[in-house]
Amino acid sequence: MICDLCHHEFNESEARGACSGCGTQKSCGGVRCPRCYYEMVSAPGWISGIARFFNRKSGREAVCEEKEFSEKSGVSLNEFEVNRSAEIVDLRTVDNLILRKIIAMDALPGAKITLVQKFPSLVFRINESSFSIDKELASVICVKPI
Amino acid sequence: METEDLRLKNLNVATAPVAPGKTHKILILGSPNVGKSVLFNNLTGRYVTVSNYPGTTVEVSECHINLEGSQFEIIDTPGMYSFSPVSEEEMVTRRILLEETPSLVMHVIDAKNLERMLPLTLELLDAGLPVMLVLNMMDEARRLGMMFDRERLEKELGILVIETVSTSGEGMEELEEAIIRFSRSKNDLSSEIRLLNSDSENLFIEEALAAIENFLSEDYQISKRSIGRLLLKEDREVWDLIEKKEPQALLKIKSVIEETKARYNRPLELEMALALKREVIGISNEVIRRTAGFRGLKSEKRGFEEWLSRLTMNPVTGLPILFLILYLGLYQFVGVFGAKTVVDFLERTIFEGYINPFLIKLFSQLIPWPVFRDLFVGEYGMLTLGVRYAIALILPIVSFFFLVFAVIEDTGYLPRLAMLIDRIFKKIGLSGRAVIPMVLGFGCDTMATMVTRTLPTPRERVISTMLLSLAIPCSAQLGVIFALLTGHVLTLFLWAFVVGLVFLFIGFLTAQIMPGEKPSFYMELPPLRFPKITNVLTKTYVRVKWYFLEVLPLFIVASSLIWLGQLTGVFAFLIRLLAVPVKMIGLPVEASKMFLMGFFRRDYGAAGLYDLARAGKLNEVQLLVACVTLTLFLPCIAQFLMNMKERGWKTGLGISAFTLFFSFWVAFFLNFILVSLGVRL
Repeated sequence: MICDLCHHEFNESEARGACSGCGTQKSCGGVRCPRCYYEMVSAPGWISGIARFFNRKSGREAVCEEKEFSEKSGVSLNEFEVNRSAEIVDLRTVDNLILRKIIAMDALPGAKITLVQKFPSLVFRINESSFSIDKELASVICVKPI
Repeated sequence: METEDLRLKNLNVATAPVAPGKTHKILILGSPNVGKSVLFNNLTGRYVTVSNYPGTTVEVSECHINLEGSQFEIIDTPGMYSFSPVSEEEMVTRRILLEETPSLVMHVIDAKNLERMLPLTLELLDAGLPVMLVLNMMDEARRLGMMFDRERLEKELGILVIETVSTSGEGMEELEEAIIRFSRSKNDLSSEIRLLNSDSENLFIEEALAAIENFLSEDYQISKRSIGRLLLKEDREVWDLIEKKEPQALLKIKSVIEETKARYNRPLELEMALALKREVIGISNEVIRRTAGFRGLKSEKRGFEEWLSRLTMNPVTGLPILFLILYLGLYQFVGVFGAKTVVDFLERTIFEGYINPFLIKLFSQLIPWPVFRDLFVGEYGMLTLGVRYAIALILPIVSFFFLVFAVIEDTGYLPRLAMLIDRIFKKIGLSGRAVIPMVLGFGCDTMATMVTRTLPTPRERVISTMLLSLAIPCSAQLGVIFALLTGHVLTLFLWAFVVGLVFLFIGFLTAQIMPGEKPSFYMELPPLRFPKITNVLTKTYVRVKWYFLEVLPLFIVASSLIWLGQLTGVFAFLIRLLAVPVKMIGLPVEASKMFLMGFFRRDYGAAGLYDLARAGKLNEVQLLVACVTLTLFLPCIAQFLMNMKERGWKTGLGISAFTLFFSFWVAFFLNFILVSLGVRL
């Protein structure tokens, strides 16, 4: 997302660092810009859900996705089509714990995967195995079609 | 034999006898769900639970065996994906590696996923551990048309490689032979650390590793190089270890790490994983031969499996399938057939017809004093109540449940259920992974509380322990409740509704209150398999045995405590005390007896409820309130102790106290609402 105040662009998972020391312990629903510490609210799931239903993306999300697409010529696994082969181009996170999980599945940049299903959770096939992941993890995995 | 000798020679293994009487420690290690436990069972002849989903082994199993005069201690470890742990069980395994000195580490991998699992082998070698590679599940790899150039692989890695099919026992003899040979040889592989390839891309990492190696002066169980790798990955536990052992090196190491980090665009964790991967691909290109038959995935049998697998995962078809499984497996089989037909037969025909009259007659002749006679054959007698409840009521229900559970888990359905339910579980602060302890909880909450260890974060573990204590009825309770409520469809439905509501409500609240990381869900989906009869029967037998041995002594102790309590008047006093809240929730005073028993074991109380209802002392509303209270009520003593053991005494005690009061208030309001509305069910 993009900070309302300083227009710094950041990933929501990066923003966690800015929350340290805050008493509400991430249950507040707010997001803090890691650069200027300005506090914003992220669009709740149901609002973006409704927006998606009418095929309109809420402002912040749209900007974020377009940027992602052009820059890396890849999209997050959440946006990818089912039953199509893809190559992983990047893992967009600096969180070691998230990385370890993805590394354990062998979903490293360069790997070829096939998305089998998207709802209620994502299922993808990689080599001879299938894995199921949630959309939060999937948002980190950027793929491009092959 | 000769070729074996040759292979060992090629691998620089010098044969020399070791001191007699020495026990060799052998670690079985590998990713989850690759058949480590089956291998352990094959080697030791002992049985630990094996199933078709990741994370079955939560406890470390150890067994001493004797092979051709040498002593071995075989240790089965919980699954571990990589050297950097994510979950508590992985942490357990890593700690074993950091603290114990194994004479051999058997890295078991799923042959068809060689590429995914070989990085860990390299990491183990890098750590300077004496490793042997076991390519397990060779049958599945062959079916896919994969062939391995074993000798080449051995040469590439510099270690022994054995091919096995642990489920059929193929390759086990060779494995045993290799172990014996390994024990008799002085293996100098451990001193000769195999350096990971340093290609141009991870040059800075290699430099950093060399620098860190220089800074470290103390001795560690694993190589300094691999300590360095873990430090670069910012591993908390290793960091603390260094802090304890040589704090003076910390500052220098820290600056090296920061420098190295600045030189890469991507996190070091990822860079290092990629470097490992490049090396693994280099090896696997040399050793894996894919025959013409490869594309096995598309064959017809696979096609059917795939179709079925998709049906179970698609919410439109998956939910009806889930309800069908619940209805047939739980309600019809466990509830109606197990808890009604079989229990009725055992209770009325066998016990009330033959055994109890016989025992009463026998003991009247043996013991002339009625007081002591009552201890064995009285209203709460050890034999007429304790043993009867355990054998005639609880045993059949629990056995039927574990049978159904074994079939379901052996097919590999549970991970699919986990993915189906993940979104709902996220709302209550859990991930889909928690489905496994939750479903197992329907069998035995105590066992399930132990399994919560496989959940990755402390927050998830506390929430699931809480929900298991409160809202998940164990099979004994379920069986009795199903038996009581068959025919009362509306009451059964209301019971399920209230308990389900409590489950979601409390889960939601706990998730809001509990601080901590939000859970994330990832799980391997194993192929759907047809359950193996022997596997299912063994698993059922082992679980029922565990349960029964846990239950029977408690039942007998409970019976004698009640006898003692009755004799001294304590029991009557407690019942009078309990009668007040029991009356408040609208139940007859006799029910307080049932709650007192319920403290000793929840199912014991459920069985008391069964007796009470059969005597016709409860109307429909009271039946519903009693069932709900007993489901939510304080867990049995065993689970109470397990809560404290797994979660620490503060949290454990807190959960138990909350459960006690909350169940009472739910019952009170339920009764209040139903009575004031004048509901007749």
